[in-house]
Amino acid sequence: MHIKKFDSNYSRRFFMKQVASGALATGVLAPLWPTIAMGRTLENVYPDEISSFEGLTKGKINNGDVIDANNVDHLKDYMDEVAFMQVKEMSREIDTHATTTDPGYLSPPDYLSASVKNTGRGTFNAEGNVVTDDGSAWLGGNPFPDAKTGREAFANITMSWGRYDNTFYAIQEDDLNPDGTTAYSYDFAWIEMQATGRTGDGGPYFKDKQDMIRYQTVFFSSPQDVKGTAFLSSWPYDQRKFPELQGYLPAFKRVRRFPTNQRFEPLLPGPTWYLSDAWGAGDPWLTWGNFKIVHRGPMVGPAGAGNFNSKGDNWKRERTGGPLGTSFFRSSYEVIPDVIVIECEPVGYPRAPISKRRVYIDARTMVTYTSVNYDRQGKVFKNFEHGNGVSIDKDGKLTKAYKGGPLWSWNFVIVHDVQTGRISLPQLVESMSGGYKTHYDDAADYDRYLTKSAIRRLGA
Amino acid sequence: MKKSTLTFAALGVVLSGGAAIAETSLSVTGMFRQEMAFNTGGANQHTHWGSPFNGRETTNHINNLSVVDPSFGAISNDSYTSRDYIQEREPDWTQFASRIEFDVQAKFTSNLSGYMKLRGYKEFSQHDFFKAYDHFGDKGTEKLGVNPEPTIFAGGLLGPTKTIRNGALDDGRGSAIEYVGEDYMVDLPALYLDYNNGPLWLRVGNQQIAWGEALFFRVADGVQGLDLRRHSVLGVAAEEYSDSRIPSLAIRGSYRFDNDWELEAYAQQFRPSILPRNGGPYSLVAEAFTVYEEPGFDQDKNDIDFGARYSGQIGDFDISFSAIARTAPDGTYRWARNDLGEDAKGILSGLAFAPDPLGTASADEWFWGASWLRFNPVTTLDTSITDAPFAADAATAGAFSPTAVAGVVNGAAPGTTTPTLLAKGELDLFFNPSLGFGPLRGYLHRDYDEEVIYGANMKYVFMGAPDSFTDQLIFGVEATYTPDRNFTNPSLSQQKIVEDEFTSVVSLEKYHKFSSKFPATYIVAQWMHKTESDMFGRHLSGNGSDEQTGGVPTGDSEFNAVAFAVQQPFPNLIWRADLSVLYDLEGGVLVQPGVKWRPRDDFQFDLYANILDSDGGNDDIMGTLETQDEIFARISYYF
Repeated sequence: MHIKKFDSNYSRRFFMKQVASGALATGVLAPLWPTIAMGRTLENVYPDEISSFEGLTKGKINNGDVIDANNVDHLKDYMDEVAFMQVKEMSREIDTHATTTDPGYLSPPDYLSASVKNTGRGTFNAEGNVVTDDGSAWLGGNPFPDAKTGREAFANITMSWGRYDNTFYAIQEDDLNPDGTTAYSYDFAWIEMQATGRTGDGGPYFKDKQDMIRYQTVFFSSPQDVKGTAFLSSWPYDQRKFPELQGYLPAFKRVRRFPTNQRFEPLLPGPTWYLSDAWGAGDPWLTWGNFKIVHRGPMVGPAGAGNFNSKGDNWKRERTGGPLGTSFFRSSYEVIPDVIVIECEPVGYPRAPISKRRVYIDARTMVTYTSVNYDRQGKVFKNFEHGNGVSIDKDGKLTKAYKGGPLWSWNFVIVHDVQTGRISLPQLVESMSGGYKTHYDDAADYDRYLTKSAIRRLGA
Repeated sequence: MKKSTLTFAALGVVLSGGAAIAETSLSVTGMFRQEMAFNTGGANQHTHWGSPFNGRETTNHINNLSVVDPSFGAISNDSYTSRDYIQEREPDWTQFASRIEFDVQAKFTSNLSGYMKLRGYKEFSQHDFFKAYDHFGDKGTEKLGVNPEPTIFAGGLLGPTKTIRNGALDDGRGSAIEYVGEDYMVDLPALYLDYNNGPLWLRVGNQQIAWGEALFFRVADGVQGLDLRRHSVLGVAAEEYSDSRIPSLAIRGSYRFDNDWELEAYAQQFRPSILPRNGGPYSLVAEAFTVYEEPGFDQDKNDIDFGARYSGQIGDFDISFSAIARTAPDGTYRWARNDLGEDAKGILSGLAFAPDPLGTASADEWFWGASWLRFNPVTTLDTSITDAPFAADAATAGAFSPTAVAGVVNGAAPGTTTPTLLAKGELDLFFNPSLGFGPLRGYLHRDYDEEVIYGANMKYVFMGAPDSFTDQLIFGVEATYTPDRNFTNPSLSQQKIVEDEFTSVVSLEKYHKFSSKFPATYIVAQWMHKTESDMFGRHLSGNGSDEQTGGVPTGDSEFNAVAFAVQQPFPNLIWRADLSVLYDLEGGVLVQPGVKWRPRDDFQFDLYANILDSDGGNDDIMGTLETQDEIFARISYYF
């Protein structure tokens, strides 16, 4: 049930005041985070005008309708400019669903619990790194679940990417030419492990060490010539430092150390995404700067249910739009009542091809659902839309993929380089070539995938 | 430790790891590739068809012997042409081969997986005379009538033409699991099981093991030899010998300790390096020589090499220490008795030579060839006569040591002659068709000596200001120390040179972004230093002689080379330009520019050139490869 006692501009005035004051307060009708922390749902936090497509568009679009070129103008102010262009000019169609009000559908359960448990304990040390109030490395969950500044919000999206202690994402990616044809197809795994801020039973720190924030490996299993290519990034806790990068290339047949400062380049021919793009915050966040909140308010984007496809072959998603009707995943959007748009600059990368990035953060859970990069002339370069949500299909079918319940995860990514017209479409799949399956919170993955000897072994 | 022990150990590991086989997944990928090389540098001078002495008039030095027998003084030193019956060739296409590879990856459990790579490679020679060579098979030179390779008798008094030569090493196989024909090979460069359990990892089966990180230079990468049958050492430099490194049956494993230091160790069956087949476009051994590889291989083929390294971090330094106890795969060479069993015809088995119309035909050619290959043209003759295996039959044949005789002659009358003069005279006497044997083939043994290599590696990443020279600059050092290493003696003596060798590579490596519109440029610079041998393992005492005439080498005291490589990808990585340069500070250079084009995931086109040059002096590594300039291309289709 949505509250309608406020006029249609109440939320708009509320958010404008927030941006003008420079201090955030999440929640419009009631404070967001205390509501979540008390285990309540969010119906009473946001008014109807920003909690449904009907409210947002004054009835022009309803929950369950399809966003297409004919009606997308009603949402122009609520979409990032790339997604809007895709619908308006490239025939992308987007399904819609009701706004998620259960916080349990917006984060993995352990991460949400840790955010609640550790509320108020996150702070910055003199170096700018996030620490617990006693000076130790962060304990887990969002360090600033009720973020008040852009830095706090950005720290939330960097300290934990996938929001699990361990993740193994099996991924299939098509990279499209401007004419919509597929130029490259890759199967690869993206594996993450939190070294600190762990939320499971083993305590917050892996091996009781506080000097690392995460380990992350990407390795490719298809096609033939890149099979076995693997890169292992070991992230120091100090976010002023670059990760240590070890790589195994089939051409070398050995693990080599690589420089890691070039984070604005594809790893292989074809992809339009860079390491820097991951989760909207792919770099150590203190190598970026000039964080500022440029927008607050409702937006539409992928979240909650509807972006999983258990019925599809290997979870693969339907495609829509573009020259061949296959340039984008057919995703499902909801009205996200409170989005924090942060603009930041790659100050630690003088020759980065981008001048700034806008990161769209869902304030309900402090996760990014899209980001837009701008070139050095300030023109739109590309977006990185990742469809987060739970493993519930558009028809409501629940796939109990995690601990007997719905799985929260990213589901797909659309990376559209609007300057060249090339599009990359990575999607989460059940399994990839080589027999690797998507799975979560398996601590044994460290030894299997996240060490030098592991990438040597993977690199056939 | 012998192979059977290794096999049982391997089975034990496989069985213990494979007990929990559950759901198995299988994936198969593959590649077809056409590989072509177009020669622009001239004929391979290691071959009889490319010898610079074909049709060349040489000086007859027999009258140099007048100081020991005045009757030789009457023989004119008029020039004569000894090889004008050989058809010279200068092939354009030195490689025209098709390659197919299948990768099969199996995952049995979360801890146990398997991998197999099948590699097929067939040479489609574009020149008819190449088709007569046995590029991969086990026929050696037994293809009577069509094979242009050497025959020891040319008919006449010595009887009908007869080919006697040992076949290829291990029946032609370069690795343990390989099937070969005359112009093709099929092998399984990878066939292994992987088992991992926590910090423990084991890999059992046929596999490549690559240590070290240096480009061009193999310092820490000392585990396995190279198979140079496909494109010699002239493949894409940036691929770091990955197609050449010879796989071997091995057990390899590692254990990572709680402090994140890792101990890795292996035991593998010995496999020798394989040189390009004699007489082929990339051959490296002079075609006038037969190398008896089988005896040495038979003696050591069951040897097991061991190695271990301990790696970790100390502060910001990546450190590793290693030790490799191995049978050296490159081997060393020494004179061999011909052992042809034709003593009744005057070809004494105890000689290191036998008549062959395609053999060395003049003293000038001998001197040039020996020096070009970094041998001593005088002492090689000495040892082929005085070393124990040959002494009796050499004396019977009337041969003498030029160095010893020069000592005697000069002892009586100082300054009368030199070993060089006597050697040239004696050689031309042997090669003379009427006074001696005519052209001669030499016979060599290849031995595989045991050694222990101790190594230490270090990497450090500078964290300079963004965009500065030291921004993520990687500094690396690889160093090895090999006590009592055996080297081929430039005299080809039975007595190898045994010395301690220190080898090191210092490297700087960096990605630098010159433009925001282009991906970063990868730049690496390296310096290699060796104390006893050159990059190919030839002892430095064989260096230094006149490039045109050859001569007694003056020797070098150290080997130094630098390598420089640049890779510049273009936006979206569809194009990549490469430039690799290897420069021997004595004056040899290899420049390899190239471009890769990858427009789709199933297609790639590579176009490269190898440009080689030497400033002469027989003291740099490019001198013996100098005519192998080429343009080569690879067209790959992936499936």
